[in-house]
Amino acid sequence: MAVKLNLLPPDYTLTGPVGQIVKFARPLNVILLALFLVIALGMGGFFIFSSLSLRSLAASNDSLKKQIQAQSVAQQQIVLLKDRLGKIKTVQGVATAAKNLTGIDPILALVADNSALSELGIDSQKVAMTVVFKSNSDLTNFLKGVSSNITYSSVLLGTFNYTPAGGYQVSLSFVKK
Amino acid sequence: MKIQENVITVIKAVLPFFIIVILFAAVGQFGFGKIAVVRDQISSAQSDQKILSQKLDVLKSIQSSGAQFSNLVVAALPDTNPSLSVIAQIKALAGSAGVALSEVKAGSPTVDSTGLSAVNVSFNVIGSRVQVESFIKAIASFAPISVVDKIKISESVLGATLANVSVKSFYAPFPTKVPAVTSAITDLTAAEKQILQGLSSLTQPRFAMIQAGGGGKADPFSP
Repeated sequence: MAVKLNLLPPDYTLTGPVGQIVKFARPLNVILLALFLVIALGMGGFFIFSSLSLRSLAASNDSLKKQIQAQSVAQQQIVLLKDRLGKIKTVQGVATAAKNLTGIDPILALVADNSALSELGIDSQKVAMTVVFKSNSDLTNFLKGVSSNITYSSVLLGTFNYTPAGGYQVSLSFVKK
Repeated sequence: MKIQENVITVIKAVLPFFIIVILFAAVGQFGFGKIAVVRDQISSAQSDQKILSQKLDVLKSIQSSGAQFSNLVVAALPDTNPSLSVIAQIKALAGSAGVALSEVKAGSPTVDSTGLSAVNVSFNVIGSRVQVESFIKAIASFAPISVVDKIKISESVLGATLANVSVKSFYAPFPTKVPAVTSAITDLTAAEKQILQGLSSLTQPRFAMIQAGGGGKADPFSP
């Protein structure tokens, strides 16, 4: 059996909880120091790697910027294109009277040859027309055609005049569906 | 005062522990801070790289057709009052439609409800009803883009149709700023390509360039 010898003077002897702490602290310090060194070296390495990546990215971006600046004409063209196309889209959304002219075509076709289209006013919102019919049958045929037309939700009769010399003068306003 | 040897032993054992803890805290705070800054810079640079690469691709793709497209959109929506071009187009259209044109007038520029500058051009057109109608419908087929604002048609007993037409044509100043190099740029969308396709079918205004004569007199007032 091994004999335990303690040759230290009594001042150096540590007993009780303090002795336990000192006994525990020494290996803990070594482990913590090793851990610290590993972490510090790891962080240092990661920092260097990140810095190199950043430098490489910055160089790549500088090269791309130079290439883009060399394409300044194309850049101006695309800015102009985007600007104009946006505004053209707005203009194309503006209501046009030409659409209502196309819509009123079937009604105009109902005006007989011996009747006269006295006035036809068209804008983007409404259509108004005044027609002079020579005979009662022309007027009847026209109104029959108008009533069977499904393009307009309502047709408003503005004026209705009859003179033996001129015939029937009818003013109508068409409201679209 | 003499410090006891066992106290020194305790300090020797515990002090390195505290020093290491302080080192951990200092290196952790400084190192992680630095690394976080570099990582932020890397993610920003990566984002920039993505934008720049995409931008370069868009610019390369537009390079071949950019000039042609630019001419189309500028002819459709010029930067200055287009009344002269519109009048020239209306006259050319009237000639091909076989209708007589009179009282052609251009109004003062206004700001339309769309926020764009607009100019009204009014005129009288005489012809048969079919001719006048097809002429009015054809106004949408030329550049600069013009919208038929108002039409007033009256027919005589002889069968001639007189139409008083007012068209509105638009213009807007060109953009004056090119965005920063790192700002994103998108390629033309399908809707924008469709608009371009529509614009390519418009009748373009024809301009004649007047060449300056080289043999003029140095002093125009000399005999």
